[in-house]
Amino acid sequence: MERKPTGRRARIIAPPQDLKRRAISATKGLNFDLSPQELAKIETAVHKSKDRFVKQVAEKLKAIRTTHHDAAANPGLRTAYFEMLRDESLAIKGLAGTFGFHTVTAIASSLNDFVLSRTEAGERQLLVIRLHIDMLYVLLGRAQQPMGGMRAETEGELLASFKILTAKYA
Amino acid sequence: MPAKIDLAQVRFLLVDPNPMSLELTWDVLMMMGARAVRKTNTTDRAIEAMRSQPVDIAIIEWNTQPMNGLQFIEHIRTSPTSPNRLLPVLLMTARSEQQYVVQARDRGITEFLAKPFNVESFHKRLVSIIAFPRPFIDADTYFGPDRRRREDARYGGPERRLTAAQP
Repeated sequence: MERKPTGRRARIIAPPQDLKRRAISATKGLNFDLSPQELAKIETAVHKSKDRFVKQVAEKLKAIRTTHHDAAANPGLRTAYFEMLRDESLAIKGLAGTFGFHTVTAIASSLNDFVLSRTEAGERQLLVIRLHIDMLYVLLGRAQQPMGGMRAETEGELLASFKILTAKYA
Repeated sequence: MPAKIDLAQVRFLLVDPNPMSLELTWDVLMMMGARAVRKTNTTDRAIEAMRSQPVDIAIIEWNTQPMNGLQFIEHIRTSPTSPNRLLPVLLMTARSEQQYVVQARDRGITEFLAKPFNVESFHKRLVSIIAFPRPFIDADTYFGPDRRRREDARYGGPERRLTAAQP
């Protein structure tokens, strides 16, 4: 809904204080700046969900691989496939880093950028997409090892290679 | 004694189409001490939920349906049928590039959190919303929390607002 200027001056409304009154306490709750103990306790919620995340994403990637195979064989299916990739890559990008899988987030982000406004793809573009999916699969398979079992330099080289690849076949 | 923040007193509404993301945010909030956290996966259900019971903070994803996160915020801020135009809204999204942040700010979000998030940043946004609520600006082309987070001492132009901000 577009709002049109009428020339009236802006009015300032004081913020409601009710929530502040209810939720700020001298004795109960968390510190404004979390203590290391509070942080560690809250992070157990994240650690508990980690295995579930790996399992669910692995299942999604399996389904994406099947759809990729179908879309490669039938160009009529590609629009729906790209839509699926946009949603799933954004979801993986948004979650993986919270669980410490920063390389997974980076590869999912690269895939999301690559398909963001894509409406068609040739064999090379499909191959680039396939490489992203396979890489995500490999990284998740090694999820229990720090950085997917990769040295920092290897991780940097890998991400740089994907950058070159996606730019070349955009 | 330094103040604390008691999330057991806050009623949350989570709106996210991704079940995994929804569960994770819910788990983290519960671990932070929240007790009243409702979850929905569509904006239609979110609006129904807000009408049925009061909400203190809405936490929403950008990629929602049938309204996207921005449309949802615009509905909250400007629709005559909005359940609460002053509702604090935290937008959490993997669309973290600056253009998206600016768009969200100009629609009236209270806070923005890029995903993947970490627990500390999430907590800081909640502290900001609850402990340091900002005044609202009702202008011709904008309704939402004050986008000026600090006074610019170098500004020498005319005051375009009707009244000065409350301390």
